[in-house]
Amino acid sequence: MKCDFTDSLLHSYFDDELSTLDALEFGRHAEQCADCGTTLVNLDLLVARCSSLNSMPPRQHRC
Amino acid sequence: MSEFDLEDRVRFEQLVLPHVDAAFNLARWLLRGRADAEDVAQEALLRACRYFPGFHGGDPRAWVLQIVRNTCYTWLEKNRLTELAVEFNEKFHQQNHATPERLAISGDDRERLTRALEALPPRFREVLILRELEGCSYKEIAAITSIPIGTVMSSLARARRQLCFFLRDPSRKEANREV
Repeated sequence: MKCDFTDSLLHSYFDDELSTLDALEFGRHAEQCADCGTTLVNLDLLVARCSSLNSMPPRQHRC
Repeated sequence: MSEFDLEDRVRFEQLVLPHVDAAFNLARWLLRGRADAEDVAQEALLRACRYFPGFHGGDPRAWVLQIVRNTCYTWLEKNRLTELAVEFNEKFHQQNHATPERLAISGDDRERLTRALEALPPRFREVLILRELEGCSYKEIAAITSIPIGTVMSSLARARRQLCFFLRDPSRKEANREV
């Protein structure tokens, strides 16, 4: 089952875009919610992978 | 349009030139090719130079990237209209660009990630690039893309979810959890 907070707040929390109060509240929720906790870990892994592309140009476009 | 004087030139060098790499980076990811990106980024910077006397404050990086983005979309409309017209369609993208099988056999993780990013529609790709590679805040992304912050948030969430979808290991039926 997917947590209702996953889409609405999780990404903003991860990106440090929530207000201090909202971040505290969501942080407390995430500690208790296995769904959000797992999704945060996966998001962290995904962003870490993306950061490896910083110095890498995309492939040439092939028409 | 006012004249580009010496003072403007100094300001241009101080405010705009530090963002040339970011401008090229955004162009190459939006256009998916170095050669096209070089041409379009150069055109965008010329445009920035031309209109710089009218730039009075604000975030210069957001201003430059907005010009680059708009120049890229104009170029895409002219040269690759179908690419722009296709909204994200899981079936289409899975079949034509980055099936899990194709990603799996591509081996190298960065190559897989590159292909997965390229498989995203431009609107999703741009928010991901701006956030993950350029480190832009939601507010900056909203300014660059001219979309509301709420749309930035939802687009980023959907883009990340689709990226995970493309990166999913096909040999594992249960797959990665969505993000």
